[in-house]
Amino acid sequence: MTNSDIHSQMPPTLTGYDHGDLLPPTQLTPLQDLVLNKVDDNYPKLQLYTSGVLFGAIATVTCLFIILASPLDLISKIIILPIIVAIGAFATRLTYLKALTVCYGVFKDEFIMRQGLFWVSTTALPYTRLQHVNLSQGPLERKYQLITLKCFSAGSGEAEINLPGLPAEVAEHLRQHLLHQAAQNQQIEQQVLNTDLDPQHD
Amino acid sequence: MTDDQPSSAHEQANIKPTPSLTDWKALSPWSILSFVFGSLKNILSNGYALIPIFYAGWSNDVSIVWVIDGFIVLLILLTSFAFIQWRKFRYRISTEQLDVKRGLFFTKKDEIPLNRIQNIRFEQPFYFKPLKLAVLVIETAGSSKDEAKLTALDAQHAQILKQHLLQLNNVSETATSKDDETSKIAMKATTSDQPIIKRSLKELIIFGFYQNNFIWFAIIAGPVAGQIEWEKVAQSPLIKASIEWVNQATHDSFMLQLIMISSLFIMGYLLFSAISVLASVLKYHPYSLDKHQQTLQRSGGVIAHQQDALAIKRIQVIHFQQPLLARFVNRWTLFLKQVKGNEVEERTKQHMLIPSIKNTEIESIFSILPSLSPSVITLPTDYTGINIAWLYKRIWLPFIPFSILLGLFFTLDIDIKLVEFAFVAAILASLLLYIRYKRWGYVLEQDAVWQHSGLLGRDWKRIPFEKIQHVKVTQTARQKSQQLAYLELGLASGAIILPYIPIEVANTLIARSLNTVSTQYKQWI
Repeated sequence: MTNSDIHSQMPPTLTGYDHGDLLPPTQLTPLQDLVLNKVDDNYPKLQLYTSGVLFGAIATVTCLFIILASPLDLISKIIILPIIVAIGAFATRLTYLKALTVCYGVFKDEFIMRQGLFWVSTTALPYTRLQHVNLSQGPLERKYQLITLKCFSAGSGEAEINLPGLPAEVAEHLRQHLLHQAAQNQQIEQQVLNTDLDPQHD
Repeated sequence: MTDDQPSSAHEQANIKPTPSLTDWKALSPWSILSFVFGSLKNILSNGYALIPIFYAGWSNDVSIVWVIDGFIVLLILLTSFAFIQWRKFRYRISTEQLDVKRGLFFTKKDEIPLNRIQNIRFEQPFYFKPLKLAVLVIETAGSSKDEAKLTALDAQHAQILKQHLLQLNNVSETATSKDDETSKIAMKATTSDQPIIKRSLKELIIFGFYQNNFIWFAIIAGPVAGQIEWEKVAQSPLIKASIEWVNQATHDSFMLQLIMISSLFIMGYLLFSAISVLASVLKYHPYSLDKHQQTLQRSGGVIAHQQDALAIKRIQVIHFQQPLLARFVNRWTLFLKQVKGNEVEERTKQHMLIPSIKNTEIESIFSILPSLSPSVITLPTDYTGINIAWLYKRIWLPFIPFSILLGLFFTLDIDIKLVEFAFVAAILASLLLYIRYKRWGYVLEQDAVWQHSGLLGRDWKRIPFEKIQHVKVTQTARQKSQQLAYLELGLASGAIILPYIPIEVANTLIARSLNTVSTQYKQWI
């Protein structure tokens, strides 16, 4: 649901409106319950195709091996083969469902991303701690015009935020926005730099 | 020819600082010595892997002449290498940056802005002590190994350079005229040192005793022991005689033999502790930690004098560690964790540490460093434990091998001993899991959160909210219904995890860290 939907639901004829009580801080929406944006619809599709091909290939090789080279008798072969095919299909389905859960949100002071099927994890990275942003596009992603956005902060080698499946124009726009936010914060740096140091005892 | 160059460079720095700070300078030829020694030390310290080779050579009667020849060739190669390196090495220090140029075929030039320098290490190996020379190692953010190494500098000059490299801010503010710049820095070096803590010989001995890890001994001893042919050893007359002596002395009584073996084991352990104690004393004695303007400086070392400097604002997490042995003497090792990959001693992956601290000393250490925390830092006395669901999720895992073996026992008739062993192992593992669960905990403070963990030892980590870089909350469907969450606090020194904490606590932590971090920019690394 977008913002305009909420506004359009308001009855325009009423003159007075009861705002209710002011929300105490404890009732603000916590990080794990925030409503976020989905990534491009093509991303789960892409994941479905690639994982389908990958797991299909693995299942085929395993099945061929069992049929041609294993010493099992015919009945156990007949039992095992459908199980392998089912596992392959299940893994593909899980990958697809996991791709569906990826979502992100651009907020005033931080960037938030959520993903995960069984372990749902939500990451928040404030712009003040953003060190660099990286956009990348694999050959398959190029076909669907998708881009992976990575946000890094200091110290660790891996990206704190690894957001795949962004439409090309959104990704570039997002990168500009993130860098602009980070740069704005850097400008204030000089003013506060010397305030947080220890007093001198000479 | 050799000794006067560094001193003349030093005089230059004092008399005519302007040209000496901007011209390319070469190192003293003594740096050749340092390079050769350093390489030899590297070869020797990685040399235990060569012991089997030497052993094989020795048992195959390779002549000692060959070994000496090989050593001489190695020495000549190293020396010529070092000579070329010394000839091509040039450095230059200006008010803004340090330039280093080196390499014969591929010239490499590094330009390091002074305000990007993370740590500076002042080292004085034993062979430089009589010559009054020293080594400066400069480390910057993001460098995977030592960025620049200025060997064989005049010791006094090196100290002045260190001040210059570390305190750009103050220098550029105060030194308006370049003429008295170096003298001013030199003056500062003597005036504004503020001692934080000193460690006596006794305390370093305690540190060496509790910090030793038998595992390192095992790692070194393992490959060596594998090379020895034990049957031959057992047949040698010396061993035979000693076995006979043992049998005689104990009159073949099993109890006495057991006591003998265990006392031998304890003696071996004490010997190993002695090595560890010796290593700790040689490395750190006389340990002293000083605050010098906005940097911490650690110095010490018996054979090779070493001085580490670290900007206070780079400290991310304060880690108090208490290994099992330290619990009996009630001491803590204190680690000051920096940005990952930029530790003070990069190659050994060691953070700046303060050995054998008593509980009562902690407050006084941090009272000198108010920028780390506005409130008093003391170890919390108690902590809130995590939810028991953490244990329920894991406790049955060790029993899987046992149940499989039990099933096999009834169907395939395997040895009952194996099943018993699996049962005992499972009980032990679940006991350890329970201890681990009991140790997990956290303490919430106004501007920081403490994480408590450990198994046989104990660890306290203090995470200031202002150093947090990202927060990540993870929940399974089951955790969601139980109102629990798994929280990861990302810092530049690595992520800190609080598992199975109530969701309200997780939300409070998230709110406090985001409130501290996201609205205002403050240099944190």
